[in-house]
Amino acid sequence: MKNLVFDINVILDLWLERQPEDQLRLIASLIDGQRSGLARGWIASPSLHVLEYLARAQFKREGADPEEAKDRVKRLLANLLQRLNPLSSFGFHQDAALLAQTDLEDAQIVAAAAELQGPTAIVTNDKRFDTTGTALVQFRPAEVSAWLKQLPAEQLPNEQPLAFVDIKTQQNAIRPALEQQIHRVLHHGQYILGPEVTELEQQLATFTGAQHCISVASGTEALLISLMALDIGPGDEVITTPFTFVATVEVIVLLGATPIFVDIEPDTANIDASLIEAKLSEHTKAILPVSLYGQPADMGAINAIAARHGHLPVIEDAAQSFGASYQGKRSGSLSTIGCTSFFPSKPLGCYGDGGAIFTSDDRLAQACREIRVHGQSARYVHSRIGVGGRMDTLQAAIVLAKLPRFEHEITQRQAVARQYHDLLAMEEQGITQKQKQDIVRALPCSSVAKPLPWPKPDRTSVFAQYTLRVQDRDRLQTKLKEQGIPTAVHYPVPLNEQPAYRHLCCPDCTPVAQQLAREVMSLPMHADLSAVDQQRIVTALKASGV
Amino acid sequence: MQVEALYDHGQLTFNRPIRFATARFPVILEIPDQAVLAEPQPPAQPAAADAAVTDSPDLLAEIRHILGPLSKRRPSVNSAEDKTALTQALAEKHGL
Ligand SMILES: Cc1ncc(COP(=O)(O)O)c(C=O)c1O
Repeated sequence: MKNLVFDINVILDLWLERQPEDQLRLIASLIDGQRSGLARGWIASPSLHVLEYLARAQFKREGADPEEAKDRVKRLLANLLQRLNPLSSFGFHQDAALLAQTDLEDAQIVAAAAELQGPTAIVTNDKRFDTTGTALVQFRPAEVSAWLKQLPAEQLPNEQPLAFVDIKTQQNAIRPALEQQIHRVLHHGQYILGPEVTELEQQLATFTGAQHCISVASGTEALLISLMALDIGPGDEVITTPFTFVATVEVIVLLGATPIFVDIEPDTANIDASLIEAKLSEHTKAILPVSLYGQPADMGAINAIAARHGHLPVIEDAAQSFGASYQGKRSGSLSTIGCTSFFPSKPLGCYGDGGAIFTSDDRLAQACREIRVHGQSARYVHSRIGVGGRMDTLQAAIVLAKLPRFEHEITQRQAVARQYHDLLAMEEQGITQKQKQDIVRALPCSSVAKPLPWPKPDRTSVFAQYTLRVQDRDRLQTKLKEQGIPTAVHYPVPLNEQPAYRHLCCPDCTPVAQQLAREVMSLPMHADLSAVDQQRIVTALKASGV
Repeated sequence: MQVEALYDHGQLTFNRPIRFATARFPVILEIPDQAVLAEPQPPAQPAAADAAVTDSPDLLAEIRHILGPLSKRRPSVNSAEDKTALTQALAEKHGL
């Protein structure tokens, strides 16, 4: 969504009815634009008191009772702030603002507006702002509509490259909360295990339905601490998938235990539960499935196997699936322990490293809390071996600012995925030969670039990735890149073929993982991916001649 | 045709298998009142730019209501006049 920063004179025109009725309606509709999805509206903080003075002065000049004028203007400002977001003017803006050609007030507006992400216009009636050195534009109210309809340069075909994951656009939607959270932490100074950490843990526990949430330094740390809490070590075996990010397996090996690789399902790319039992042994200490690409593994089947074999603990690696559900329960709360990551590009990310452990087992929760702080059960009492694995307060504060929008973002991600799917997966539907021919003609890519099937009916995905199976992947990736479309491969080599791990298992033991590693390719995916960009991606895919 | 379906966390599952001729089509759903907490606001879509500049009687009406007797038509002014007015207002506030 584009940004509109309103200058004082436009607001005053509206309040004081200093324009013809149709102009007033136009201004009102622009200010209301965020509600109608037109644009995100802002008012620079330094403008607020100026508005107050000018409106009050006008009413006083006209003979109004000063107290009454003051009260009514306060209500006008409150009304305005229900529609426009206040835009911060920071201390660090002021030096440059003083040097600007225009007056300080205008320079403050420009400096504040330039902090926004994406296309931003100042809406003004008869002023010229000095926007030198910024990407800002300025318009009269009557010109705004045409600008809003214009595609930004990066959306024009073959213009600037798209982002694979856009994590900056989101900031506009949460900026006031984000700033408040960050400044609260700066102010109270409890940078380690501060109140935001506790608040986040409570909110995330409620979100997942788990009894306990223990925030940690990263997704990797979440896995490591969980395995340590389960006393996994040398001689132990942990059943897992070879088709995952390396961290899943790395932590097993770090603790001296042995990963036992089980092949994956071709349709979900998650561990194939039907193959687990054959790999269990007297040394098996845990099962570690990964909910890849955002869709939970078949946790019901896996839990049942674990229960049949001495109640083995099951740790869900939910680094990619936080927010997804399985049979009505949230990923992360589906087994003995769930681990997630707040890496910035994850569906719920922070602005650095972060992660969390979920469990409803009090004893395990206590163990994880102690291991997170050097195995400390009381100050300088180290009851067990631990790590320095806390999530810092600033990162917790950032996740807190993002949390209220998370459900909306999940819905958006699912809508983006649905759109890709409809455009690319039509061949899978039960359709007549004639229709099939039409569709194949319309979308020649679908026979060679095939999306993974839509998530199973008993679960939802948060689409951390939207993944296709393609032939001739290298060529396709190159062609798309030439058109500014980034793609990614998760993962090109199963872990049982990686130099550090291949001695643990033969590559041919997991043929489906081997096959998928050759074929998978993910398309750009994020909650703010616009319909225009998505069309550009699909068109480019078609044009790549596969 | 009418079919029964189960809604579960964002997904509809039909009570019997149906083969569809197209991958995407509109449907009308009957949702039990007790299953709905509140009607969500329509999601903000950039594509709505077309619906762009229409009337916004609500905001204008709200402003007129807040201002009550102070609400009235006034002549247009330019920024320089606003600036002068601000200077005067500030001077007055700070006793200059
Ligand atoms: C499946 C999986 N497991 C573990 C991790 C590790 O998370 P982090 O990068 O936060 O350490 C990731 C994230 O990259 C992941 O995708």
